[in-house]
Amino acid sequence: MKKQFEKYISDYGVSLTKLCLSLTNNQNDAKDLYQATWEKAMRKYKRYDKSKPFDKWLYTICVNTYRDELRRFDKKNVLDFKSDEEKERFLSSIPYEEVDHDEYIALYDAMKILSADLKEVLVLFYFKDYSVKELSEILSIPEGTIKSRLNRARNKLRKELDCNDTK
Amino acid sequence: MTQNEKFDKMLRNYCNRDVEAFEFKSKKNTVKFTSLVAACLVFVILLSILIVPELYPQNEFTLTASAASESELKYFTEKELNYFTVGSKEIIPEGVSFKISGENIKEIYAYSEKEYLALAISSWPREYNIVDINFRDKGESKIVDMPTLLIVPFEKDSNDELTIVRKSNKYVSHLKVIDELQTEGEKDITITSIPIDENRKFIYKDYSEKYNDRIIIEITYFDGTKETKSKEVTYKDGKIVF
Repeated sequence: MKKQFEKYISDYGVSLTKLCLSLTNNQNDAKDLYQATWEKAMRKYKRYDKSKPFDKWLYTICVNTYRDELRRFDKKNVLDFKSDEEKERFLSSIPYEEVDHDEYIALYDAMKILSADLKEVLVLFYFKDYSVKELSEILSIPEGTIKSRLNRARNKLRKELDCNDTK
Repeated sequence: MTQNEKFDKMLRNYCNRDVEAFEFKSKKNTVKFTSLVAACLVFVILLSILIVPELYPQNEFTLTASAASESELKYFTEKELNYFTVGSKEIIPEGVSFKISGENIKEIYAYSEKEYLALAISSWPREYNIVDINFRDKGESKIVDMPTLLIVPFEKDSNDELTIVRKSNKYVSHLKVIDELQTEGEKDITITSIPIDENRKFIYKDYSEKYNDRIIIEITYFDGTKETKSKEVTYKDGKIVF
């Protein structure tokens, strides 16, 4: 199993990192989530249906872990970053194609206001361009709920970003 | 680029950032993975510690020497008799080994090539072959010639509580018990030829159906004379009850 997981980590480690960062919005929590996800994946590996894609199964574990640990993450988010430098590094990791740096700062702040259920749908949607059906499978939520949450999340973000623009 | 397109682009970028800066991969992962493996190993070891005693229970049975009635023979799972105690004295037996056979420790075999001072085996909670050996007199008795025989039971100064528990698919061979502190004129006592079936039940061809049998005890005296006693016995859980 070790070799198998080394390959999984090699193949999906980066993607999982992105997902963890997007969900937690901060590096330290993302690291914890990343670690916890792999740990759970190893423990539950016997239950993994090999006829299905490993990455989706992994992301399901990640999101579920995020939900489980939400209280802790939310609490820690009060601190967010230990320094401006850390925040800068976090934000500078986002590709800046045709988007201003300041706009990402606004997005980062706006993401924080999203509730967990909205955030996980939104993040997964943009993370891999998953379809509503795929999201429904990963999150074990009906497709209708996915659509509704996706719309609410977008609207909320847009509104928040617009508000920031007008400030 | 429309506002909607820009919005989607921002979010897509936000969720697909460059993670190199975060040192999540390579070394970090390796270290974390190693820790994980170590944690799994520790878990397995702990699990083994919990499970193995279930499979190979330690000290679940003891041998008791009647020379000192409270003495115990500690039996360990290494499948070799290590020592037993007489009072506070630890005795390492020579020429004698008690072995456990079968994966689930269902039998105890006692092999003796020498005279052996072992007077009792007791406490075998898992199986019915609880063994009690209580020799006559004060425990100076010696058992000789007990090939593959498991149990040597005698109640002190009396045959009333003779219990034999032996599991074998063969006949129990001749059991000979020599009592060094014989009562006057007594040399040895012999229990002869007790057949046992595959289910470790004693077979008494003439009587077995009724569970009411007669066992023969042969006593040899120093002067060479022999005395044969017969005893009515019944059976309970594979044991002979006198």
